[in-house]
Amino acid sequence: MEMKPPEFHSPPRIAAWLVKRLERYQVNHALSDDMEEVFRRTSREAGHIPACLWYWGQCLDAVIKDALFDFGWRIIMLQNYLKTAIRSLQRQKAYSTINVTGLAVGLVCCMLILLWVRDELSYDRFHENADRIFRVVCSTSDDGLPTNANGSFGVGPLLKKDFPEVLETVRFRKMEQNPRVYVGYKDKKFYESRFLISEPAVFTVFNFPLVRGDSASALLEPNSIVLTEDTARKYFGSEDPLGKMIEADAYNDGNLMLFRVTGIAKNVPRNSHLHFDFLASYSSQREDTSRISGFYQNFTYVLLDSPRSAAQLNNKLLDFLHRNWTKKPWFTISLQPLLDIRLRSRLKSEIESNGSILYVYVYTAVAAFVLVIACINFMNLTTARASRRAREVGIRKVVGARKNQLVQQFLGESILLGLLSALGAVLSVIMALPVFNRLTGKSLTYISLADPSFLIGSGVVILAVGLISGIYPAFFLSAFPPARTLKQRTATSASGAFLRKGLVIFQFALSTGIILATIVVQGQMTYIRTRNLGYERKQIVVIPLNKDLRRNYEGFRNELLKYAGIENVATSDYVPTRGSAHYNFRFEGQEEDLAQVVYLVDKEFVDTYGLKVLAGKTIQRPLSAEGPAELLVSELTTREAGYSSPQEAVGKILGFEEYKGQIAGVVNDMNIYSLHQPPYSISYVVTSIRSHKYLSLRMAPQNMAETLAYLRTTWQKMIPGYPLDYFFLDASFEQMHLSDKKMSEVFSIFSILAIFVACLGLFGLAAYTVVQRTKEIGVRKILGASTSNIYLLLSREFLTWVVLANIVAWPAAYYVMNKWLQSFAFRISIGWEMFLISAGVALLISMLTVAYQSVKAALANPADSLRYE
Amino acid sequence: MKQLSVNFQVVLVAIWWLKDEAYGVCIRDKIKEMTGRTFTFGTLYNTLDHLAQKDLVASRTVRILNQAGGNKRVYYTITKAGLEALRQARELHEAIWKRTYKYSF
Repeated sequence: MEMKPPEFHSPPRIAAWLVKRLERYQVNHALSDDMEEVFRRTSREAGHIPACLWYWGQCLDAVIKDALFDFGWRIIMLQNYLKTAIRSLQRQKAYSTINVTGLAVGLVCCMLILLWVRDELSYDRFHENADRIFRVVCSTSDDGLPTNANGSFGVGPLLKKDFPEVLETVRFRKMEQNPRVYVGYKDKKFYESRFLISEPAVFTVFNFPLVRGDSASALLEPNSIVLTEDTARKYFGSEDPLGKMIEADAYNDGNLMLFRVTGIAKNVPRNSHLHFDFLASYSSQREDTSRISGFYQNFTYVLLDSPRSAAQLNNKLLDFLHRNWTKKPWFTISLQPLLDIRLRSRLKSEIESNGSILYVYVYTAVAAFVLVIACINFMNLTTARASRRAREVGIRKVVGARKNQLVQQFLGESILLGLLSALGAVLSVIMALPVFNRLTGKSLTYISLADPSFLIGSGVVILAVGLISGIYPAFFLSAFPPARTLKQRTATSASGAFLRKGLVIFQFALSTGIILATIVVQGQMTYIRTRNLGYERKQIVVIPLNKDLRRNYEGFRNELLKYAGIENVATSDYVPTRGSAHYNFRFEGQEEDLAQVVYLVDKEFVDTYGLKVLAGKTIQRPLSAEGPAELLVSELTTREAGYSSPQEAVGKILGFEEYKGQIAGVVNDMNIYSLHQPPYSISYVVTSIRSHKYLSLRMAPQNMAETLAYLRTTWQKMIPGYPLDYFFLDASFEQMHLSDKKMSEVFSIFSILAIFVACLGLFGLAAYTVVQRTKEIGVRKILGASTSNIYLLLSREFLTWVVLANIVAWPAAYYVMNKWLQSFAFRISIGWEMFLISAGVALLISMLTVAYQSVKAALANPADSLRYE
Repeated sequence: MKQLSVNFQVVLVAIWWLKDEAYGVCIRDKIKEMTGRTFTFGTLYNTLDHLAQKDLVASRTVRILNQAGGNKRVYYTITKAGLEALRQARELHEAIWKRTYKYSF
């Protein structure tokens, strides 16, 4: 390597590069050469580092001085640019409004969706150990893929005992799928739905901080309970809750338990996949929770020493089951990352209903589409508008404007417009947030807009949009030869027109796709709303049972049936949408056990739910009586058990646990969960009310409000000790499809917005085309063309675009929507009529949009347009 | 004609002193020698550009092979109008200070 002699030290590279960029100084004065000379002298006399410092100082000074030179003139030019910008905006008011509104609407969509997506992605990330927490999920299928979020009691502690990499385990227990637990303190009595049972480690594994009480001991003792701040306020007001006793029907069987309040926790953040208002101690439970047995609503979480040990641990889990449970396990377990639960988990018995990563993708795509459409319009309109300013460009060039000055002017203008739109968009977002929150069930605030990454992100987007939108007209226009632009009224270029058409077709393809998607989503939602679930979902009201009601059930039932509006009343242990118990049955003539959902019901259940008896008869004899128990099974059961018809199934013997049973009759299938899941085969057994948890009541469809009022007065008269708490089965079913419903609502709104933005673009473009062809239209009219001729002439072009757009959009939309429908076990199929409707809608909207401009042009007096020839 | 500002005068006088040797580095050094003030190159060049706009100085670019660094120099000379402006500036100064010798500051 060649060593440089010391006197040839070169100046700091970045500063030297900067100095060379100062064009005026370089050309007029040889700045870098002069500076290098002094730099070397200083370097020789004072050393390298002072010389470098001097060089940097000079460099920065020169940058500032360069900017300040002719400052006055620059201000004057800027004023001139601003003035021309404002004038051109004012001259074409319609264009400017369309331009700014279109971009603003696009930005609003984009910002709202980004807020939503950010919120979805933020779930459970507030836990410090989020990446090391895993949930133990179970699989009852042969392929070992997780099927259940819940599981057995004993898994947690045994995992901790067996594996050193499991630092801690936490179990949560919910009493049922969607429990309504009675809680009372003095005269404050409520049914609570967020009542969980958990272990002391919950406070070390998760970040659920206590504001009062000791987190190490709060859940140690049996019958201790932790409340959240809001809940404590609800029950105790200004009293000090610590040490107070509250009563709760934790098992939902009428046996009230007393709990001592040992801690107050912060409210659970909204973006957590599980929420609690009450956290009772795990040791309060009556069952033996140390062994692995059947499934309960029990959720096990483990904290590992490192995120990487999960994969190895997963491989050891089958062996673990063999060692601690049985050689032939009927379920297997695996670990699921905590951060996957919200968006990537749709298992049976989820602790709360989750979101879906698919929706995140779909929303993001829609946001991107709308933004792209808005940008395309902005580009299109700016180009169209700018070509009318060709003469201004010509004049500027003639009086000595350099090309990069023109580029700066137009880029500046479009960035300014972009900022204007952004300002409007931010204001609109702030105003639209409450509505958006109601729509999505979130509570986003505009405070989250102030997040630095979000601000920088939107800033970059807006700048990029301004730049991209401005770049085409800026370079396109500044390239005009002045002589030509000054001669002609407007300047056009064939390539520009081609690009514009392509962009319009593209954006119309996007909007047609979105229309089609909306039609499919709406169709599926209607299907969900109206599909026959096998029971009378609209008329059934469900009330959780309590001690008094169980004791006085017959009297209460008779009192209710006296009223004409109440058709029948029944009790059962579970009701559709609210949990289920699963058992394995051995059917006569079958080798393998069949998994069955078992409903413990009373004799009136079949009639109350409107189930149809397909074969045999309904059961009369309860389980406890002498002789084999009688069962009703669902139609699906008979198929799964291999019987050729429902009739054949009647009288068959089956075994479950220690009982023997006989099929008395077959009823139709019920969908007890969401339509995402295939139906379960169900067996019905009649038992006494002691084992039941819900009362179901079928009302006549007329005058439901009066019936409910009667129910309330009867309740207050006969069960005064408990508050009346009821829900409609219909609403509960809809709750299971909440995220689908929200998705469809949001989707509709954004599709309308997307179409609106696309129409603005089309409108602007139509206006532009009409202006371009004014003379042609004038000549045609003089030669005898009628108004409708002209209208057709102008519309034909747009018609072709829309048709082309449809052809592009159909396969893509079909693919995506089919994928979405796959997530439902019960779904509609995408029919050809949906394509036609979407095409029709797109066509109609575009024709209406174009019509205004075309008709105006067709009606114009040809003398006006030809006057200047 | 409009009166020249002090910076303009300083730069013009420096160029006049240097005669044929007036290029950026030398002018800067001369100013330092004359007034004790250090001009940054930015200030110096802005002043020169303003002088050039008023046609008070003219410049020529020379390619050189220089051991001291750089391979280009821009030399400045004062134009006739520049000399005239400098003369007027001097007359004004003398007029201002003419009768002040009696007083000490």
